[in-house]
Amino acid sequence: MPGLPGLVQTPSRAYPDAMRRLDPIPTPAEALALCERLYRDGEGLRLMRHLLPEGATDADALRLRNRLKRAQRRPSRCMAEQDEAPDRTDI
Amino acid sequence: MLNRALVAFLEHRRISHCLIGGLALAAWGVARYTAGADLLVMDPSVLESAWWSDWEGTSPRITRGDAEDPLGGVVRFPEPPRQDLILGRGAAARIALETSERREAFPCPVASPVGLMLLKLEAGSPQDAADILALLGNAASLDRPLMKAEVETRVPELTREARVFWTKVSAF
Repeated sequence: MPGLPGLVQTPSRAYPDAMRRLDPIPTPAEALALCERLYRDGEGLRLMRHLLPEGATDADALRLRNRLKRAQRRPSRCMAEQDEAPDRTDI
Repeated sequence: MLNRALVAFLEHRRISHCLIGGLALAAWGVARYTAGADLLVMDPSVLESAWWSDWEGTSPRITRGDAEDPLGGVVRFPEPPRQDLILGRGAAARIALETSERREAFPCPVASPVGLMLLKLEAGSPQDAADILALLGNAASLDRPLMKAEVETRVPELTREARVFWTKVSAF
């Protein structure tokens, strides 16, 4: 099959090429500190709240994140039970 | 983010464990958002409530995986930042624990890049694929040029779904 003109015929190498770093990778301590900052800052969850109805909280955003994560992974009932437990405080 | 008291509790009771998930990626130069800390164990005694009787913190919530579940169970400490003790199943979890390493700035063993990639092949999401590619992208910087080949040798031990996933991811 000749394919359509203008369509990419082979898988793009853009993503793996972009993942190959040109600068030194962070040390474990630096990367750990960055993870900590991303977690404390909470920007990721705040951005996710835009996908939710008015008045949604960070807890709602985290619940959505967990659901999306689980939906894309091999299903685990015991993990789902943890994520959906009513007494969640893990934000 | 990792609860050192929990790590000390496991060490005191000689439960083999290692860090996995987003925090473990940081040990290998991949920093991204993660909602908590995940520790892998293979000892099912952690699923017994009585086993935690000496634990001085808040009681954990324990769930068990059924026969179909890829996980044996989860022991969760939901106070932020959330800590999950995950009872692994199968070859990927066994290898991840066996090949875990000590890393600077981490108070407990950390799953090796190969161990992490095997776990992520079993999990099978787009985020897991991105994490695998990021780890492979760091192979030269970590002075582990054979990282991809090492995964290749272990892939036959994984589930059919994980083997198929590797075929897709390794094509990049």
